[in-house]
Amino acid sequence: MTILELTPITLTRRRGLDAFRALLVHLEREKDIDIELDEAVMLSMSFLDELIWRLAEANLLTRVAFVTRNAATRRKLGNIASERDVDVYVRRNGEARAASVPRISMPASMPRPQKS
Amino acid sequence: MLREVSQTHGGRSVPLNCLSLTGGFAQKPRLLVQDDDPAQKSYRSIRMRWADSMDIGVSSISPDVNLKFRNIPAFCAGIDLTPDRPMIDLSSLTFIEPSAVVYFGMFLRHFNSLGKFFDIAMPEDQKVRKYLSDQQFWERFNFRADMVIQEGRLRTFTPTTSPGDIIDIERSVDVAERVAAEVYQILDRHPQVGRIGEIVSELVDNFAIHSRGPLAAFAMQWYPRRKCAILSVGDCGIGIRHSLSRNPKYGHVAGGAHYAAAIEAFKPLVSGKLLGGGTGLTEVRMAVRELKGTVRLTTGDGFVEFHPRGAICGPVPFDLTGVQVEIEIPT
Repeated sequence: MTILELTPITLTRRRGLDAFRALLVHLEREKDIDIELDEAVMLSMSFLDELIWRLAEANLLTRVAFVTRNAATRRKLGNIASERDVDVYVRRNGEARAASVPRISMPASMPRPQKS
Repeated sequence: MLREVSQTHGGRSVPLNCLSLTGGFAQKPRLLVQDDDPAQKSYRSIRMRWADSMDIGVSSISPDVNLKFRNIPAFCAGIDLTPDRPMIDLSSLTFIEPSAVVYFGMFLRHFNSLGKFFDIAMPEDQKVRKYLSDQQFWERFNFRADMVIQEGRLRTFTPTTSPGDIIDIERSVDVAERVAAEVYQILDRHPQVGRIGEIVSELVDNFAIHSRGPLAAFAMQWYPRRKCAILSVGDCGIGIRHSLSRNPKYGHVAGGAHYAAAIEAFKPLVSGKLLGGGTGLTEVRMAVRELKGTVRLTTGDGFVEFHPRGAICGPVPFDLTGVQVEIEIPT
């Protein structure tokens, strides 16, 4: 299924929660689900983080694979996997098997105080 | 296609010397008021105190005043707030960037909400007067925000909205996606329009979730000569330090500097919410870095700036409640 079948708008945590709730219905009927992400014109980190965090809290994340060829989307998924300490399964279109996305730490270095 | 929008709101661009990015002015300081006319004292006060604000990039005073996000806190700090009706002298204003308009608008809204109203010496420069008039600046900002909403004067998106417009944002659950969608339509041929829309969504959603204020403002401007676009979001809500300290995990920021709280908020999963954490500002920082742009944020009397070569933070001369953000992206 595409992410747009779960929610028409893929921005904000509120929409991430909507997508999670819609996904629960499908997960009751199917064992594993692939979610195609690349049809979304804007796909925010907050949206993805809310969806993945909710799935992880419900112990359902391993039953979902995200399908994307978009490097920025893969980077976001890698960031979320790193910060939430979870395995997020991703595959490119055409690939038979999903693999855990490489974890990518979000920036930790912060500025030191000084005058602008 | 993006069209050039200048200070004259669709007319000719302002002279290049008004678009200085350095913050410095070419001319030496000059005291414009020579007499002791009491009516001019606050004007002199602004000038003198502004002259002291060397530490934020205003290297000297000039009769040509160029207000940008970098120096607008110093300008606000120079306004004498002790009179019943403080005087704000904009007569020498020759250029004001939309992000400075947003900051200044939040300044006015904040003090209006406290019952303080201002006398304004209007800009003598016709282009600036027209720009502020076209943006309905006084109707938009020089009233109490709650009254603006009640009286239906709030100006939201219209079919004619352009990249040069200032947009009011009223807090609601879907405001972030509505503003992002409008930005997407306006910039529909920009190669990074999706990323820019996501950044806008994160910033506006932060306002909607955390600020507790009723209104924010959004501005977007494309500068063809500088080859950059500037996005700005500002509110006069509770600010990052207060918002973050509502979460006991980050209660320690309440007693610290505003810029320290802002730095904390840029870290992953840090949020004033008790559950879930936040990624909004972290993602804004990363997305802007990927676009080789710059994020500048002020909250209270603190600022944080992430630019392609590093980051800086520290105090600014004026303590304005809320959060103001400027994003500069090369085009």
